[in-house]
Amino acid sequence: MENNKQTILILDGTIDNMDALAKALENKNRVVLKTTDALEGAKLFASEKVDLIVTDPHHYDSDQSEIFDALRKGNLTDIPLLFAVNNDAEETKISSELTGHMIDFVKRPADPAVVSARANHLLEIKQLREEVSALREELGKYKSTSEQSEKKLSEMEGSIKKKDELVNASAQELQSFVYTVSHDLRAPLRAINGFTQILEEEFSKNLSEEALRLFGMIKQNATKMGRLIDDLLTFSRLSRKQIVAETMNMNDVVFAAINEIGKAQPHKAKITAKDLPAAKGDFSLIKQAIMNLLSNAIKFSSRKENAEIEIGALKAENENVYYVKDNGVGFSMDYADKLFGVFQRLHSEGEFEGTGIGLAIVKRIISMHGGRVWAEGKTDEGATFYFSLPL
Amino acid sequence: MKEKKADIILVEDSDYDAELAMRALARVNLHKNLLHLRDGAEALDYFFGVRNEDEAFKLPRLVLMDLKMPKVNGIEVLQKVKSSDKTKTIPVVVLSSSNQEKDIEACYRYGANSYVVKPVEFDSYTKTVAEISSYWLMHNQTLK
Repeated sequence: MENNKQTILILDGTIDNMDALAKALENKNRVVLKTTDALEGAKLFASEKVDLIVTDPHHYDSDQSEIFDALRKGNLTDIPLLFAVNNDAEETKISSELTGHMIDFVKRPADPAVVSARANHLLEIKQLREEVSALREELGKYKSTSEQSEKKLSEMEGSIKKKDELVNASAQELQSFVYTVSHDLRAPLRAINGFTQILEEEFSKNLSEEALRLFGMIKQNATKMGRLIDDLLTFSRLSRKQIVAETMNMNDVVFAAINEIGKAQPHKAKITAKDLPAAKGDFSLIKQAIMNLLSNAIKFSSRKENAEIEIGALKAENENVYYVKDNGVGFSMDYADKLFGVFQRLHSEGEFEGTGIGLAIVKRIISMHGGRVWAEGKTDEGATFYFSLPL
Repeated sequence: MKEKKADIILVEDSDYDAELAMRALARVNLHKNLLHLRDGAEALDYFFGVRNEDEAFKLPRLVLMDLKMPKVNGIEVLQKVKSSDKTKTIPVVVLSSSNQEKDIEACYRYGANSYVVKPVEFDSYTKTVAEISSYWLMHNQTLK
């Protein structure tokens, strides 16, 4: 490749000397240009990218071309010079005049091997210098980009830290807000409930049936709002809870859930549980999730003559899928995506009581375990709620 | 002075809650020697104030106390009552609206004898307050 060849320019006033130098320096990896004429030399220099100038003190002194002008003025320091000198005095003189140049000398009569070796050496140095400066340039670019990146990085770190602080602050704010809500909303409810009941009990003789019915409605609503507050609190507390994951015998979890739901929500449904594969998770949270699903299943099948609820599991890859299936009123798949939202209800208060938080709690518990929840159903044909737990 | 002989001290900043508690206690006939104090500062003054050097002063047999109160809150009162030799044997029942673990934990750590989350339903409220009060009064009786 022509481009990779190095170019040597020989400037020597004597043809014999010039040819001898050229002969010593020529090889297939080089272009050797030679001339005895200063003007011709300047032309060659201008037209080619010269990697090494080989010349002698006489030519150096007599040549007034722009090359030597520049050299004497201290320019062109990136081009190495090889001088063929006759004695030490010449060497000393040129050394002192051309400071800052890559410069070397061979004594005449010059041994071609020495000329070649010196030239090679200078060319190598030049090449190394070029490589170094290219690397420097690269490094400079890299440095400036790395400085920029570092600056950006530290800016980003700063903004992440700020956001972190904001998130923490608002989490704390939310927590104290929730606390206040739980505390301060409950107190008036207790008063409403309490005093209504006292009215009922202590003044019942003076009250009509209708008045008693209305008092009953006040109490029912206050009680319901109390339950809403409790459910909301449970839900918000879940987000701060650390899960304690252990291997759970899911049959035990389900057994405990069925037991507890039986006490909390007396029902006539026939609950059957199939043998379930074990899973990893927080026993009390998963129990809570299953209880909520059971509670729903019981509620929505309560109008059936033979309410049946089945708890089982499906085989799946990388996860266990559990389900709670009922033969209750079901739901339309059109609303399947709304089931798990907070305060989302598909049935009116008159049809089925509820706060609309139960399934949101299930979803949050299962998500905390890295699992998913979904449901299938058909109006009047029951519903199946699924949740998965990763293996 | 009547107040110095109170059997039960009710520390409660809400008059409504206080009345509910008193009515609950009335159902088990425990409302007669009851003194209602309206915040933690009044409670501390009652237990540790100057007038209590008076010979006629008698320690109550039971303290029913709210947690969230103005001036001095229930936790502070609890801490002082349970760390003083004079008062630490008095059963203290915390009646709170809060069912937060940190409140419950703190109360038991500072020596609360019972922690009751005030139920919204009046029946369970009455039942709970009456039962727990009777229990601790009885307990305190046996000790004496």
